[in-house]
Amino acid sequence: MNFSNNLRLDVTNSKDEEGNAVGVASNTGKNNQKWQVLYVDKAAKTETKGLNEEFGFHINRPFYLVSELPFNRVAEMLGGTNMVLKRWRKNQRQQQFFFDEVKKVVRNNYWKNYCWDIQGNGSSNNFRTVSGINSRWW
Amino acid sequence: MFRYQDNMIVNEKGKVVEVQGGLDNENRNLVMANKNGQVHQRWRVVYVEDYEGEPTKGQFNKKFGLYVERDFYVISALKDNRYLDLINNRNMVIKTQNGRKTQVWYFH
Repeated sequence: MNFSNNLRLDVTNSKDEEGNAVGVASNTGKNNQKWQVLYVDKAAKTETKGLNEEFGFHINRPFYLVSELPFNRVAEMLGGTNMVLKRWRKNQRQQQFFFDEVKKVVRNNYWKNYCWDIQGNGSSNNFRTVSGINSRWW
Repeated sequence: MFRYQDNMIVNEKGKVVEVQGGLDNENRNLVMANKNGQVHQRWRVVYVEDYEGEPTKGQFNKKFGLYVERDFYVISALKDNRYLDLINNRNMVIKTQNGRKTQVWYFH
């Protein structure tokens, strides 16, 4: 609460979505204005390995995404952004991905700043990778 | 955000990653689509240290039942056990063994 104007921190439109804006608003008492202060020394440490059961991936453990079509080709990050099907090649890190527990995104193991994404903020059907953390609710 | 569920990569809206058009071709695009559970939407997440890779020359490919790049004949089970042969570079026929390379096959 701001003591000079009595406004509260407010999650915009109560949308509990990754990347949604937080502003200030008059007191409504609703959940989108309620917060918990968690001291860092009391917070649980971020896991750096093991299975994240909610997402179905092991944390920070590189994997291939292998198609069940007959040739069992794998997903590959092509040219920095596009995702295509390719024959598996040994030690080809463009074909390897890993789950980032902190950001809850899947990163490429070669271009590690690129994450799985849907083009056009989810408005397109093109599955691709994008630089930065852009894998939001879509 | 993406999750790996039931052998599919699923986003928050329930759409899944699929091979566009279901074509098992090199460089085929991956796209998002409504879930139907067909094979072109199904994936295995295989961790790098667990992945055996594809069999190389001389190794047996279990899925296809053939050794890789190892010459072989295909012999008919009919009475005269003729060999599968290629004529005119396009037509498949059965012929008596003749020692020609048109009767030799290999898996790649």
